[in-house]
Amino acid sequence: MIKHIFKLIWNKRRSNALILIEIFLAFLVLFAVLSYVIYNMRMLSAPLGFETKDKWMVYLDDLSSKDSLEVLEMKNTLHRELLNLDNIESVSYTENINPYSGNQSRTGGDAMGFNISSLLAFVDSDFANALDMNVVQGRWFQEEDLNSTYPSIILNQAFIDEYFGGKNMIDSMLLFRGEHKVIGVVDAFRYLGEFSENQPHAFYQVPRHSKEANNLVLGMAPNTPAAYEEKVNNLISDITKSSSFIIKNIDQMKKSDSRDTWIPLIALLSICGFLCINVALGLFGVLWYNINKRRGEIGLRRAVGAHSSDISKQFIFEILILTFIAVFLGIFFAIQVPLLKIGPLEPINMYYAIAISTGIILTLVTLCALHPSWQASKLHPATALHED
Amino acid sequence: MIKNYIKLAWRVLSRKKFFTFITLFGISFTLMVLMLITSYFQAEFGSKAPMKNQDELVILEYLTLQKVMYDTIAVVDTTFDSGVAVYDTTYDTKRTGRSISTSSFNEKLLQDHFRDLESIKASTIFNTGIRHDVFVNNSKLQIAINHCDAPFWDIFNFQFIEGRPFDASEVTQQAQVAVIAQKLAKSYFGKDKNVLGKFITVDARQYKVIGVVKDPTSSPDPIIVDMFLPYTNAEESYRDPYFGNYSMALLSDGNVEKTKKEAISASHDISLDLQDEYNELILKPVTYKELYAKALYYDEDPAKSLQFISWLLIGLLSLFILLPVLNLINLNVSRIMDRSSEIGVRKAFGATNSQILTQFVFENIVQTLIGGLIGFLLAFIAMYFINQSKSLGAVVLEMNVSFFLYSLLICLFFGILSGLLPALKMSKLQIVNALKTNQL
Repeated sequence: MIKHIFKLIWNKRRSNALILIEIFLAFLVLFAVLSYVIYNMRMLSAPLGFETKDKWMVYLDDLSSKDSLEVLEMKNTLHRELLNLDNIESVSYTENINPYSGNQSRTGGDAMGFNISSLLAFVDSDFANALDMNVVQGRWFQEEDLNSTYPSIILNQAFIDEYFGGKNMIDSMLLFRGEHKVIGVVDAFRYLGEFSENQPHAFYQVPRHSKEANNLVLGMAPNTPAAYEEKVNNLISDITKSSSFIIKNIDQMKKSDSRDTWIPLIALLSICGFLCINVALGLFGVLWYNINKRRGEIGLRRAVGAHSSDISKQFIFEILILTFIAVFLGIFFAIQVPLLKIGPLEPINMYYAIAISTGIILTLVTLCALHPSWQASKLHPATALHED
Repeated sequence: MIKNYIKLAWRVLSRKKFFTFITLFGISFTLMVLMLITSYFQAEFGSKAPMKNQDELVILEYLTLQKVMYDTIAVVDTTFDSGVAVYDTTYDTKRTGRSISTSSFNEKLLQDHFRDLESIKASTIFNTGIRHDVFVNNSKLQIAINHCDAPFWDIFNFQFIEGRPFDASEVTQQAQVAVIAQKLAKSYFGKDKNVLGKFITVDARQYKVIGVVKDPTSSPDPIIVDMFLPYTNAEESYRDPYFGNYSMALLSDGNVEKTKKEAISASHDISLDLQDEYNELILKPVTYKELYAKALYYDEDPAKSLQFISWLLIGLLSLFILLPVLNLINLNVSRIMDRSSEIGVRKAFGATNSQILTQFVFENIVQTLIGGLIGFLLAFIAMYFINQSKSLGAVVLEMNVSFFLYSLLICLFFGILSGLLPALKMSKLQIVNALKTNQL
């Protein structure tokens, strides 16, 4: 049977070669697009590490040239007055690393005896509370930690997993930008967006009155109306004696940031979907046409005793064998990408992409072959042979 | 003759509805997507105001200071030299860590070092980082500001709807004048037509509007802001001698690579004595396209970013074109025998191979043009929705003459590509074979 089918394929090698190339290319397109999509979907499904709903950011003017005492008093007043507002539940001061700021601060060093490279953030004791972060081990900073013998550090789970194999690091000393005591671990802090990588991250405590900590995170009461912003705006403007600060809604920043990834993603997926439909329709047309051309052959096989299911089996096998060859060729090329570590994506995404592309192609081809071959199998030998 | 061909092509199309549907579906959708892509590239990289000079631009976006730490490890080891124990010390110097700081430039640093490069026609510094919240009629308006100097208007040739740009003397005098974008004029002053001479209050300062520019339809940072102010009005917030909020655009006199090299060698003259944290200064000037590619795929070398993105794009595009083309070829090749009697008769009456070839390629082109027309309509509708939803940000897709010509070119290319192979096969058919299988 198989031998017979190979012979049939070989007899029409030229037109079959074209179909083979088409399936092969469709596989490559699917592979490329799905790698990108799967990468992003995996990022999307990982925890963000903080809440964005009803969270606002305030970016104050640069304070570095102001008098330290003045800044201290102003910041304390601002903290107190903001908390006095009905709709504000928590207030935190941070430096320029905060949700969707786009800023990155990174440092590396080998003081521990091996290389550590991590993102950094400089925040105060209310930061986790204001953003509803998940502290999975230990605790977050407290104001008293600023006076302790060793400054505290909080790490994210990725840091622990990457450099300490997931061990319990609470109360250990970490030599990273000086000696620090690990007091807590958070699950994640992907402040660059839903589609960003989960990288090692370390948090350092800064006092509330620090001049560099000129950004505020406001945890708002649920369903605070957008119009409330003007009230907050007036209060801040009164206390800071300036109007050049900015208030932003973190949820909106998240939406516009995610949109930048969703748009190319959806565009790629719809183009890819169209290509699949196009290839499927074309394949269906070709198969239908070819099978109609082979009425004589079908008639003869039926006349010498082949069952109608044998006929449909033959046609489906023919196209499936062709598809298998094309897909194997595709896998051969596609697998070079993760094996040779070409491109920026992690290999696991591509293995998924290869598996899913193979599945999609095989399903599509089988679906396309079903109808024409079923039609062929229903052909009565008398009608099939009648014309010749 | 051509009339005949068109007639024939039409007949073929209307004979088998299902195949016509498959063919036209593939062609029109493919061409629609290609047209949208062309339109996008035209919007971003087409030579139009205010980016007419984009190919001559060299941009100094970021400055990087780094400290590379070296560690020398001395290893004392005993080795045997012809049976005698000898102490041998080896020194191994390796990079043990580095710390990097990257930011945009201090304004003075740019002014002092990059203003008089040899191969540039003009240079501008600008600071696009500043946003201000303004409340107008109880709704919040966020104004993005670009603080720039006077040559900015020579390098980015904006179309002025009314008024004029600010000049060098206004910049030095710290004049409180503003050039605003059309969209801001609309949202701040409402339907009011005469905005020249009116005042906009930002950060408790009043700026007199002296010009209104047309909203750009592409996306580079320095041009999509709402408001342009003389940079002398901005407070330099960082007091750092190297870092600040400024970037620089250099208009090269034709040779961007030379300008890049000059900028790099100028950066070697910058002394690092004003700080003691870092020991190396790195400057990576980029062209406009490299700047674009860098945002999509980061590589330490911007040229490599551009290379990667270009290859990725070329690869995906050619795959995207190849698939529908192959699909069409497949369909056409398998349907050849439909037409064999016609070919047989034509050949028997003396038609040459090339005539048959022309006929079939021509037929295919007619088919593609019909598909192209549908694709054009689809693209038109898609463009409308894309622009309406603002899903491309500031980028506005539009149709114009060159877009139409490009589309036509794409159609012809597609038609010839997908028609040539089947037509070749058909033209080579022997008369006997062609006439044998089918009854007339």
